[in-house]
Amino acid sequence: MTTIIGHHTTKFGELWQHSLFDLVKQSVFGALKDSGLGKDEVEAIFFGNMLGGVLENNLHGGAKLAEMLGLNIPIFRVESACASGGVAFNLGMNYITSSQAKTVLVVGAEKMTDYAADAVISGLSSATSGEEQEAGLTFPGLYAMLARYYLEKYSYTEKHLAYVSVKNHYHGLLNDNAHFQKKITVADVLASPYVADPLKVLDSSPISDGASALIITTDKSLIKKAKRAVSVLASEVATDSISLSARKNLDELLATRIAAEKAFREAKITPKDISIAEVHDCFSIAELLAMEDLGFWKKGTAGKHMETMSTMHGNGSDFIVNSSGGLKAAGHPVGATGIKQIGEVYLQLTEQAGKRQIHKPRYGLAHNVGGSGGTAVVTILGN
Amino acid sequence: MKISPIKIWRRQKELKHLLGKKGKIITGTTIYVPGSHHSDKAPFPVVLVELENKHRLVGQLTDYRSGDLTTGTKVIAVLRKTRSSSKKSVIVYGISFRPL
Amino acid sequence: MIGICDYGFYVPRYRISTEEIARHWGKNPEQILNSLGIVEKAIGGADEDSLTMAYESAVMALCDSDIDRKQIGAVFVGSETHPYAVNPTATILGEYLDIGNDYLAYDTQFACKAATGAIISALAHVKAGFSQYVLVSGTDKATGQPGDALEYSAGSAAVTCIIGSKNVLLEYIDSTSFSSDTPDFWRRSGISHPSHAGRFTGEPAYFHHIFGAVNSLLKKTRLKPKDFTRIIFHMPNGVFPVKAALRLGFTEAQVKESLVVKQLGNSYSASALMGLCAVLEISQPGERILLASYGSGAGSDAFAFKVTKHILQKRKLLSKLLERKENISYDTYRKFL
Repeated sequence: MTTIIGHHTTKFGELWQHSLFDLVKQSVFGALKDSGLGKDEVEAIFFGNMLGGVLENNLHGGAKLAEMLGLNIPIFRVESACASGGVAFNLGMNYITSSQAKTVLVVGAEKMTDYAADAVISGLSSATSGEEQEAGLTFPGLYAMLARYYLEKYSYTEKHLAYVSVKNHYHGLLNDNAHFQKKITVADVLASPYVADPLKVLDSSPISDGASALIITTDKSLIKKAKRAVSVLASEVATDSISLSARKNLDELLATRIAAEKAFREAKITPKDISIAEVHDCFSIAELLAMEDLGFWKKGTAGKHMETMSTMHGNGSDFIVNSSGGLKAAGHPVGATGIKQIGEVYLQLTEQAGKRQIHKPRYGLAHNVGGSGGTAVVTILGN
Repeated sequence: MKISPIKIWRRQKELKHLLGKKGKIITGTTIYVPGSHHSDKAPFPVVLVELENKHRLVGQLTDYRSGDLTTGTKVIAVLRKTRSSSKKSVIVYGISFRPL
Repeated sequence: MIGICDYGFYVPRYRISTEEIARHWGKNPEQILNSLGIVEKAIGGADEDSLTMAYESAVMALCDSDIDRKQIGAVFVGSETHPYAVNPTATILGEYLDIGNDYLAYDTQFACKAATGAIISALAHVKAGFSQYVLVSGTDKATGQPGDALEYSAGSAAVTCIIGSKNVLLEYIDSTSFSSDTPDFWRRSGISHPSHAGRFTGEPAYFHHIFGAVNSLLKKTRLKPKDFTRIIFHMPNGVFPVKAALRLGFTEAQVKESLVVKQLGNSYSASALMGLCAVLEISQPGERILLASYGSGAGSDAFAFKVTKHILQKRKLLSKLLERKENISYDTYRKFL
């Protein structure tokens, strides 16, 4: 069984002092330290990153990492828009299964604050179809269309979206690495300016820098030695059309549903067994859809459920969602998010989550989405 | 990112056939914070339209009154400038939707 | 018989009133309304330009028409606001109209008479047997320098005429052109707004050239002013065309219905043609129409036409399109330019 034996996530935020590869370095060496491994024990690296080429003309990340670490091992740069991290992890898992390698490092990183906002927005739009870009649809625009469709179909209002941000910001307060450590209220969210209606600034995850790394291994002696180890029970990827106009249904992300079904089957558990879930809340609507598509809530009921704040830490519930603060409050350095999510589940399952620790969680799930649902990765960890 | 005139040229051949086609709005949004190719246009509405032949596509709404950005509004595909181009680049014409 | 077989027009939805512009500049709207005779003008939206408007007018001309598009042998587009300085509007139009590749295309510019000159060439082209049909569009999204007098009049519109010899609705009788080198209004390359010579644009420019062309036409055709049911002159404002009409021996009644400028402003290359569309809406078979365009720089093309019975089936209603309008503020107006 592939096991996570070490992890490091950097602070997420506007990290002016650090370049993309400074952050990569931080997280890589942090994870190595955390796992007690030397860099020469790593047999391959998978590096998730979306915007290196688009924003800074920096591709060939594999060679960059080789230079930084002084290694000659196989290193692969992976891109699947915002699912780059999750997909990198999935490829790392499959690499172990299919090759002689036993120990793989997976790192995800993104540097977004070196550029003007409109350049970053355009860069992120590279995850959308050509037609969507031509129409001027930004990311928020696409999710806004999904939000409008969902709110109209199930008779909800913008208020039902606001609960997501309020909950995740509260969690952010409990996470020292989060981009935002600021409590907000439903009224704050509703008063924030529109980005693409009905989504407002406080419905939207921020532009952040950051990196996160994990070490996975099937090496029995390393697993035995490891101070904190968690098994990866499943890692599944599914895709769907890049264009919203080609989707079968606009009130779900089919890729999430397919990946989740495959993952639960692989892990031999059901959604009811999950105590901690890190879901992809790039926009508040995305968490509502995720909770339904992953099988936690029935289709169309997420709005009602969110109102009860039942997935918020400290409300007496045994099922918490986005304890890290989610993408909204912890921040969303695109390539890093997928890894950080898995890292958060790892921290929870190894009782390292500090102020946001859940009581004895057994199984956790991480859900990472690329674009407006073109790629979805579901990872299940457990002990 | 510079606009490629060749991509525009290829696209024109597809777009020609969509002009004049009618459909209805499935969903839409108003963009308040645009990317660099639409920077001088915000706020502007974008809609997902289903044409009479069931084919779906996205495009900006044009020549509209304030109540027109609603689900179910009937629209027709018209020729408009779809992107802000720099002073030197090729002008991008494309499909936008006008409420009927 | 040659002449116009089909026609179409396009006016954008948006209007800005003289009052709104005057208010912005702290001027007295009454005074300006009286001297210009323009109540409001049409302006294209931010996503419209001369090409998109020409396209809309051409689609109207071709819809319900029995013309096979592939028989259009030439496309001429006249404008002073072509989208490109070098790259023909005519072929972009031809491409979107899907007329194939077997056609001659070029753009013309001659201030407000860019299209009428092309119409004369189109008529000759058809008469000589070079093409069955020629599509000519006059289109402009005209602007004026902020604060300048032209701001009140420079508007947007497009008109497309299809010239041919089959089922002609407006028969071409004759035409004359009067041309000279007169610097009343011009725009240098790379400069965004035109310049003009103030009051010089009146007597020695507009009036001199229209009189030159119209008097020649009347002499050539041996027709008299009273032989025409309606006349259309280029409309830089609501006052000049009426003055010109009276001085040439026509009556106010003959020119009255053509004065779209009052509600639409001066759409430059489409101006006189818009007046023609307004007149065609109410014309009857057998009536004679006189049209004289004016282009700064300067010149005038004068036409004598006769309405045929085909107008009854092919008439298009400009007044209906003009019902679709929305007034905007000065700030919005500036964003659209």
